[in-house]
Amino acid sequence: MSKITEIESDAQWEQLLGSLPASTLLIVSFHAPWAAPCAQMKTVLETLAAEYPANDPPSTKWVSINAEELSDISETYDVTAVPFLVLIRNGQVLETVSGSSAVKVRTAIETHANRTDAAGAATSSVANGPEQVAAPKVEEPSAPVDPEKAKEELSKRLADLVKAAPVMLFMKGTPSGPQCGFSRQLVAILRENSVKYGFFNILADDEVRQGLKEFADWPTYPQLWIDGELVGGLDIIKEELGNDPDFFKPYSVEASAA
Amino acid sequence: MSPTESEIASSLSSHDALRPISSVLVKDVSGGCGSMYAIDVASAQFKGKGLLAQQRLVTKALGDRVKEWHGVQIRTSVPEDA
Repeated sequence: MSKITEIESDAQWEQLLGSLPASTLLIVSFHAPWAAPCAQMKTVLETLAAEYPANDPPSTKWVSINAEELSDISETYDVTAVPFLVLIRNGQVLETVSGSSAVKVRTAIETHANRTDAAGAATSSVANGPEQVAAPKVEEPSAPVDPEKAKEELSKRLADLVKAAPVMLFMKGTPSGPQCGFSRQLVAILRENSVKYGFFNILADDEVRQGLKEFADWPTYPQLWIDGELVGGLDIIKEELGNDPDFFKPYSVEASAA
Repeated sequence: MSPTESEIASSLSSHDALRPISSVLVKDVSGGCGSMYAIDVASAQFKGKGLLAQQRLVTKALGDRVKEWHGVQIRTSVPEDA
């Protein structure tokens, strides 16, 4: 599984560009630490990166750049908003994705990454046909994906997402800007109990929003997951705390400092 | 309860997985908009089950309706004589 490297300087960036094999797909994520959607995009990208093998020569290279600190690089790629994704191969920009749509990001990366299983399927169908398709065109980016496979991939993605942090909150909006009363209350409870948690704004990703309801077999948000298991929504959390005020103790900031 | 509230309450009462329901209260808390309900249910079926499992029985019984709502507040309890 691949990991994301944080680029710390222009020099490191130049060196990376110079040393990358021509076949490697370079996935560059521009972020700003103060922008909440970026934290979410980080989770999405980490989950995606984990699905790509760290082979040699690398088929994919994943890097993250602080758009404000390394502003020269941002300017080169015309980064006007964050999060911003740039896909590069052999020095050429293949595609850019602006904003926090996880679906768009995933589609763009998968289209250009030439995943080996998809390549295998394409070549076998070409061999049987009477015509020879010239270049190995892997997949039409806009062609409908086999729904079974799409569902499987979504399930896998969700399985990783719920484990992105020991305590994961799937909410409407963000902790600094909740978009719903129940989400706001749950954030307040987590804060009162000094809980360390990861969050996902389901308003920003409709695929996760609908998919997680099915995956969790739970119809509403917010949803709190602990250690990869669904605990429940606001009502349940309030009741658990009522029964045991130390419910969150193992996940609090003090616990990790100890 | 309003007609919709009663209708929801009776569909819960007649739902196999929740029977026997000793008490059910459905309240529209969306200011009459029919988009958010607070539901209190007491049933012997909840005995011995975790909170999540109890609430799941209720959401399953509510079925597709929940999809149209903005939210739902569920309070489950086990009747004393269960």
